[in-house]
Amino acid sequence: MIFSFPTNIAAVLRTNLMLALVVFSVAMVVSPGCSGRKKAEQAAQEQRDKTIQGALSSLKALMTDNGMTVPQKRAEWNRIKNLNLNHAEVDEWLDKVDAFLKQEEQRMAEEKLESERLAAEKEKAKKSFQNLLTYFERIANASSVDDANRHIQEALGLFSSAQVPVLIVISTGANGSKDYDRPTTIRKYLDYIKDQRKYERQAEPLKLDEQGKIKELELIKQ
Amino acid sequence: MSRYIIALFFIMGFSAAGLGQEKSLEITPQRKRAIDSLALEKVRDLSRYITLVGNKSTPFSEAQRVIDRAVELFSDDAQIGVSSLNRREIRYFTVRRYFDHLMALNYDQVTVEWYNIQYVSDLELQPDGRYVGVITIFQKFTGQNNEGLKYEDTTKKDITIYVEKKQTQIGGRLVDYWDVWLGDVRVAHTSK
Amino acid sequence: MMRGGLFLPRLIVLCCLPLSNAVAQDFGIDPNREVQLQASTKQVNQFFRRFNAEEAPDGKRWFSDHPDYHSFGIRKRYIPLLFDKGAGIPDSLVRAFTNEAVNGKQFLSLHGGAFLAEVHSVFSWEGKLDTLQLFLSIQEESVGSKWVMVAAKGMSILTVGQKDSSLVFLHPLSHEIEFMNLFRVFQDAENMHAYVKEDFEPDGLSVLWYEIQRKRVVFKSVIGVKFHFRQIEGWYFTLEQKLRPELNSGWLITGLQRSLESNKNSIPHD
Repeated sequence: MIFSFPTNIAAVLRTNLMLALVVFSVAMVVSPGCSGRKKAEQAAQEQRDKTIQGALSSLKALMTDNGMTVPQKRAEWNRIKNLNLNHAEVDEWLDKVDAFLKQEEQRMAEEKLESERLAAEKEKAKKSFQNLLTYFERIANASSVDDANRHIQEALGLFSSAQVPVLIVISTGANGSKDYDRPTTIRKYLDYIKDQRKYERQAEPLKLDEQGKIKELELIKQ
Repeated sequence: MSRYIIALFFIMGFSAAGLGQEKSLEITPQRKRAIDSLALEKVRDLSRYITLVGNKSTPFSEAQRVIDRAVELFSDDAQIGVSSLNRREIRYFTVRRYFDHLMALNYDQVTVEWYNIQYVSDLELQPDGRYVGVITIFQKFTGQNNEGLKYEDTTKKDITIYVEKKQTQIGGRLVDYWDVWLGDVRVAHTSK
Repeated sequence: MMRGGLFLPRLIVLCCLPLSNAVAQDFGIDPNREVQLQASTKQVNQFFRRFNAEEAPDGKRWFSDHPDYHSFGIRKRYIPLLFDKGAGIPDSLVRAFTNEAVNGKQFLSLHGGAFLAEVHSVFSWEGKLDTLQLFLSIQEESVGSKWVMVAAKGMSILTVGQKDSSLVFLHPLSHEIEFMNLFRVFQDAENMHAYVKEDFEPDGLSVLWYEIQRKRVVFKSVIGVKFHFRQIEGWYFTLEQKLRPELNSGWLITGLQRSLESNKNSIPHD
């Protein structure tokens, strides 16, 4: 015997089946667009997460000694800033790194100033020593005691006082250590040049005081 | 007398604290060369001071200043002992008195020339921790006055040098230096 | 082995240059004189170095890393040049001494002991001049070393008196009078020898010390120095300074003798 549904039930079933088929068909047509958007959204989110992680990683690296110069770090910071990620942790790191870079930039500026100052001092000291050497030569070759004494007085004007210490290197060790003769004063040394008619050469750059006068002199024996 | 000398050697044999023992020096050969050079320079400086003081053309005040500088080269109790060809006895002068005597000589011009022979001994350690050495030089002294009268002699000078490592403060830092100064000088006339 | 082989030629030049024809210049330094001064043994320190082959003919110091340092050949040639040619020491003795010192690798040193200085000095004793010989040796200290006096000889104050000891004496029964006659000893200072035991010799250094402390003696001058060496096994020699315008000058060996224990009396002394 064939089991058979009552007709109305069958009809309902047939209708539902038809409906399901229609819905299924529609779904089959419509459903690829929905999942794609989701996928796209998902992909976009993944991309964003990746970008954020990358930004965080870069920002943290900017605080370490990673071989980049300060300007390079600043450029990288700008790049990340301009991403406008609007992410709380990224923003926090951006602030931290910004503060760090500002300190580094300040330090660099100070170092540059100091370097320029030292270079200027060195140049000044070099000129000053050339000047001093000229006096040494005049004193050593003076034609009379009065002449020599006059040059000595002029030379003393380059110094902060007549008691400025003079160190004379007698030998230098392999490790750069120096052996000195008994220290003397510039007054006595200039008199020595007058008496002995000879002088030593410069060993180290001159040390100058705030007024640009020589406050310490180091020479090396020839 | 000969028994006496043998007995002395016998006594010394017990008192010598190690036959043939060499003292180890802190001064390396390279440093010794630098110190020798420094010491010789001070001896040359002294010669120049002698020339300046001996010349009548040097103003009195300058001569006095130069004597002060010469005295600074020496230890406080240094003596200059001088003997002549005919007289073996040594006459002793303080450095200052030696220079005063030089200034009183009646020469218008004094020249001191070095023979290019100088000999520097090894440095020996003293009980006070300082090193001592002797530099031997030969000099020809010529004194001449304007009338053409001339005196010449050649002397051998054995000059004691003392060397000590010291420390001082310069510009707020400690600086080590080798202090080299002169001691007793034995002056022997070797020929006219 | 000599580096560059220059030592011997330089040595020959130094020792063979004739000076007899050299004309002394009135002005400037005589180069012949410089050659002579170079050859001269200018310090006792230099005598040691030359004896040991520790320096070049020009005086430049050699250290242990130099190929000629302590050179056998150089010492054999150099040591004979350190003798005073005018001292009359036989060549055979010089050769024997040189061979034994060099073959036996024996060297001289300031700190080697067996080395005595004899210093002839002039003193003033209560206004009268006197000459005596001071003997000194090197004494090693905990730091460094120094010369110390070990003996003094020749003081006239210690010379034996004139009177025959059979004429001045403390008689054999002096003990019975409780030696009250000792007063004569103190009144007869010049004849102390008669009142002390036969072989007694007063210690000169002790007497000198005492006299100096009492300020009765004043040092005047040194008039000569001589050194006595016994550092070379089996040998004794003296060293003196000969200041003369010759190549053979400076500190030179002036006396040489074999030194045997049984031969104590044969050491020459002035």
